[in-house]
Amino acid sequence: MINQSQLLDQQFLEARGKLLEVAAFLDRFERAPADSPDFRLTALKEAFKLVAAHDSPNRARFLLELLSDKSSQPLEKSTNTPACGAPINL
Amino acid sequence: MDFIEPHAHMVSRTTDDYELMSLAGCRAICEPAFWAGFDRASAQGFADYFDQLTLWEPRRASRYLIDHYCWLCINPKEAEDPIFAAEVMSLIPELLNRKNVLGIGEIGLNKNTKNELLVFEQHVEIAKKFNQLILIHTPHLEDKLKGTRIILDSLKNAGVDPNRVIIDHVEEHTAPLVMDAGFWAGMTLYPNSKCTAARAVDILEIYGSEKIWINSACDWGHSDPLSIPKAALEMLRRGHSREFVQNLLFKAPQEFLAQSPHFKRL
Repeated sequence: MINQSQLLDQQFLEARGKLLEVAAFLDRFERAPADSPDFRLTALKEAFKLVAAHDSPNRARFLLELLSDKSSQPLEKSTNTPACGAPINL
Repeated sequence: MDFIEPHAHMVSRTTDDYELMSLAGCRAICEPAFWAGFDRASAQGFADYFDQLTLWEPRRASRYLIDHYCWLCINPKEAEDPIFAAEVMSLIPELLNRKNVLGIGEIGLNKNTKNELLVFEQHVEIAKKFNQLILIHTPHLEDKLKGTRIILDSLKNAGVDPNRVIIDHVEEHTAPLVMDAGFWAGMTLYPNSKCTAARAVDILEIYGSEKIWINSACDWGHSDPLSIPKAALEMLRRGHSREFVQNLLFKAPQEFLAQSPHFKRL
C-alpha cells in the first residue's frame, strides 16, 4: 500500500474539492428563501460534527450508522416514498 | 484486464455500452431481474421480461464476445402485493432450466415492510427447493442497515448455505455484518449513492477481500458500466498488485458463480 504522503499527493485536492462543494451547498441553502426546518439538514450538520470529532479510521462507518433508520421491526405497509439518505429521527 | 461484471441491468443500456465494456476487458455479465422504473401492470409483463433476460439479451452480449447470465425474481420494489407476487413467482420454476439462469435474484427488501419480507422468504424457499443460488438486494440509504439485519435474521432462520448466497450493495456499516455471517458480499459502485471506487477499495483493505465482489449495477439511472475497470485503476494506484486485482475482479466471482451448473468458467 502507498504511504500517507503519497495518499495526500494523490487525493488531497479531490477531498478538498468535495469539502468545498459541501460548504458551498450550505451557503446556497442559507441564501435560498427560508422554509420550515428539515430533518435532512439537521442530519447533515450532525454528520459534520461526527466526522470532525472522531479520530479513529471508522468515520465512514459511523456516519452511515448515524444516517440510518434505528428501528428494528418491519413496517406494516410501504410508505411509497423513496429513501432520502437520512432518518426522520436521528 | 479481464473482468466479470456480476451485476448489471443491460436491458436498460445501449449497445455502445456493451462495446465499451468489451473493449475494457469484460468477459461475462450477470443480470438480476429488477424494477423497470415503473410498476408492471400484470404478471405477463414479467413473463415478457424474463424472456428478454433469458433469450434476447444473451444475443446482444454475444455480439461483443461477452457471456450473458441472469437471475429471476419479482424485485422487492414490486413485492408489496403478495397475491401479485405469488402470480409472478409461479412463472419462475419452469424457467430455471434455461441455460443462462444462475438463480433467484435480486430479491430482498426495499422499504423493509412485512409483505416484502414475506415475498423474500417465499423466494428463498423456491431457491432451496430447486437448489438455486441467491442474489440479494439490500435497501437504499437510511433503510440499508435495518434491512440488512432483517435479511440476515431471515436467512439464518431459513437455514440456507451462506456460500451460495451473495448479499449485494454493502457499505462500510453493513459489510462486516454480511461477511461475519459467512455470506458473499457485493459492493456496488454508484456516483452518488452506495459505494465509490475509493470507498470500495477502503472496505477491501479494512475487511479483507475474501468472498467479495464489485459491480456497477448499471441501469437506467445515474450509473457507470465502466466502474469496475475504474476500481481496478484505483487499486493499482494505491499499490495493489495486478494479481490481487485480477483475482478480485475475474477469479473470485467465478468461484461463486460456478456453483451454478449453467455458468461456464472462463
